[in-house]
Amino acid sequence: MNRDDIFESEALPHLRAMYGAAYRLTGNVHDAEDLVQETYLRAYRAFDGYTPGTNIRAWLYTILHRVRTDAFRRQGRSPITTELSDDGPAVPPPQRALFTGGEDVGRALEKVPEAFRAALLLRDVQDFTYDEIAQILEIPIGTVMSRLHRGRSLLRKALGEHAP
Amino acid sequence: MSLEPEKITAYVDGELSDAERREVESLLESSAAAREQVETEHRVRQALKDLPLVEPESGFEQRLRRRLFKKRGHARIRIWLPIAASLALGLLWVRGTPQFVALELARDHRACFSMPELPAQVWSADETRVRAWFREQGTRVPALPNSAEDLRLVGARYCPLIGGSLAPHIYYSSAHRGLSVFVLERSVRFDRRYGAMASGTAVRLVRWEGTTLGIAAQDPRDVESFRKALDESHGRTLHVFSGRPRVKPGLTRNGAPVSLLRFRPSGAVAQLGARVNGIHEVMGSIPISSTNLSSNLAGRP
Repeated sequence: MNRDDIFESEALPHLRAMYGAAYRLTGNVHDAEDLVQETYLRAYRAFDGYTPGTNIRAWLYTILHRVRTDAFRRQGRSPITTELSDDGPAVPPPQRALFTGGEDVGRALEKVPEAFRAALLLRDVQDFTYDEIAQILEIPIGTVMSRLHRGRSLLRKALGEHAP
Repeated sequence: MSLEPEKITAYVDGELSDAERREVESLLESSAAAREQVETEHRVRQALKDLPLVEPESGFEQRLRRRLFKKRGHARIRIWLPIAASLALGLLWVRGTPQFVALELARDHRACFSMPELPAQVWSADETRVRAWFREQGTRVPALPNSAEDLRLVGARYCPLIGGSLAPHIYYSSAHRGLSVFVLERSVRFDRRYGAMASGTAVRLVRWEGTTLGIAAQDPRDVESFRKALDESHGRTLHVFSGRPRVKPGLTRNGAPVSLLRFRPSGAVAQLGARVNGIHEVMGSIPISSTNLSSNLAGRP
């Protein structure tokens, strides 16, 4: 198998999951397609630096988040510097409608700032370990824990606001 | 007892060491708030896991694959196009060097004369018949001598050259030796004559009647005697370029030595020759009679 065949067999099977994560990050089809396309084009160019048989999923998501960060930088923003008015309660208040359905959860997730949303998606949707998330988002493990905790709190809060 | 809430998050995710896990479990026994957090985080996790997977629109994957393949194609073209162009230019340049042509002719001469029988397509000891055969094939071959010392014309064929072109290849043979004459239509970069030993074969290139002749033989003396026979059978070659004419003595027109002609720069290129039957003729791209040189011929004393 040549380089192209290896790329096709190792990288392309993750396309759908990557698109799903990209859609949840960007919130629209157009930006999600652009993000995934740029991720794969960049991955293809950098594929010589990838060691076959290692964690290609983590490698692809690392590129995806770099592409996303670069896009924010070009726009003069950063997903990391989102200011929170409230760190979120350590112990959440009771809430009524956490699980009214996937659509509600999806809409509530959009309200969670992207830095936290990315951590939630990587952990709870993609099942990456804390180590892998730290590697993908290029942050310390302590920050991973903090973002997950705060992300879940914010999501629960957002779901509470969505509740009928 | 209190604990950082992030620890409880990591506990829910199964990311704590054994000691840390025991610490959290101890807290859970005593803290309703901690138990509430664990329960809520489990439910949030489950809600996210249950999120429907958003599929890309149909055709996205195909478009991406095409884009990747296109990129690959472009990358390949970007790499190979200049290399291929350089190689093609290099080959064209090399093909025009006398050294390369000499090697090519030497190789073919050796190959033909090492066969049990020469691969001739026409057999004849008469050069007019050989020329007539080539003319029938649509190729003009200049008049050649029937023999040079003991080497005699035996036949001819078309020789396939590198690059796919064909060159008339005329065989001369004696009891133990062979000589080849190639008529090359392609451009070869040398001044008037070129001679070399190429892989043990003597090769000489000469300009002759608007073409390039390549003479190849094992013995350089055979090549030289053929060249002399060529000169003797044709008279002398006249190259007229703008500037000083190079006229060899002995060439006449209507009984007058051509060397007495007063050439003027005309830009024309013509060659004067003599057929074996003694009729003078003008060879080349522009007949000399149709140039301003003809007046010099007519007014000559």
